[in-house]
Amino acid sequence: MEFLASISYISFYLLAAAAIICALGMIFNPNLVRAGFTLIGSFCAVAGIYFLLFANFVAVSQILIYAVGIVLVIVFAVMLCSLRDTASEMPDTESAEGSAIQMRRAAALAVSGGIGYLLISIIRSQNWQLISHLTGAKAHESMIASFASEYTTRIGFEMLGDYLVPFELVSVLLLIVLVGAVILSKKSVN
Amino acid sequence: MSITNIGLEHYLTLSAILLSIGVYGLIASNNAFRVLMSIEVILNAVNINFVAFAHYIDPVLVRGQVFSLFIMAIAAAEAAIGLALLLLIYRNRVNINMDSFNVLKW
Repeated sequence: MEFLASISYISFYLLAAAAIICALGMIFNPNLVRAGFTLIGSFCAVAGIYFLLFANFVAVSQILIYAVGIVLVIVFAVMLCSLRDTASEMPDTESAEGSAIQMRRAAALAVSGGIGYLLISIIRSQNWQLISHLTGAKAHESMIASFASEYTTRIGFEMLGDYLVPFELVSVLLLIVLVGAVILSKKSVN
Repeated sequence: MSITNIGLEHYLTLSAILLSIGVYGLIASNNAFRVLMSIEVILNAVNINFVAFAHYIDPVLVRGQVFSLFIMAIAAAEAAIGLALLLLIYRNRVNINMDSFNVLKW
């Protein structure tokens, strides 16, 4: 058991580091297509995190929808636009435009650092052992493995039971999006 | 000692870090495609939270996983509409820098 625990620790930290590094690479890579492919790495690492949480169905959907579907479509759109001017991501401090970009980066750093500091300090101030004890999850800890094998079954029951209306609404939403995307991206007649 | 002794707060911290990276990219990047990708990173951070809470707090009815699947479907819809809008904008004015979206009607 000790060995298994250390394996799960190591794989959690490896996957978390991969997710964070690939997300940073998405932001700082000047080439947009390469940024898209590093984003695939980040999504696959997050899928590995889902596997660690026994959420197999969500992990596979993550790979199918995010890593393959969304990111590849974004990368194809980037290629369609054939942007030459990716060098503007690297600001030169002399011009007014470059200093505006630097100002915006400083503002972004302040906002995101503030949000991250706030969230992490809130997370560290809570006693999570106590919370899982209060909600009764602590009592089930030995049975979690048996619950975990039922997760996909539970998702099916929930989707066609309590969450039937949102499920159908999502299907209507996807139909609307399909029609809307075709109408928007179609060449206009004039 | 069970296998799942990493602890909820580790997942929440990872999610907070990914969220702040996504917010940084959302504000700082000048390219509209990079803004779309940053939004996807933010939605992913939310999904990690949902799945982690579903496993640690609510392991019997895993409602968090159901919500994360809904979020994935809505993220796909958002990406499709966003890309269609970006292609439309690119067709009208030949760049997609966020600075040049300052005119609503032209």
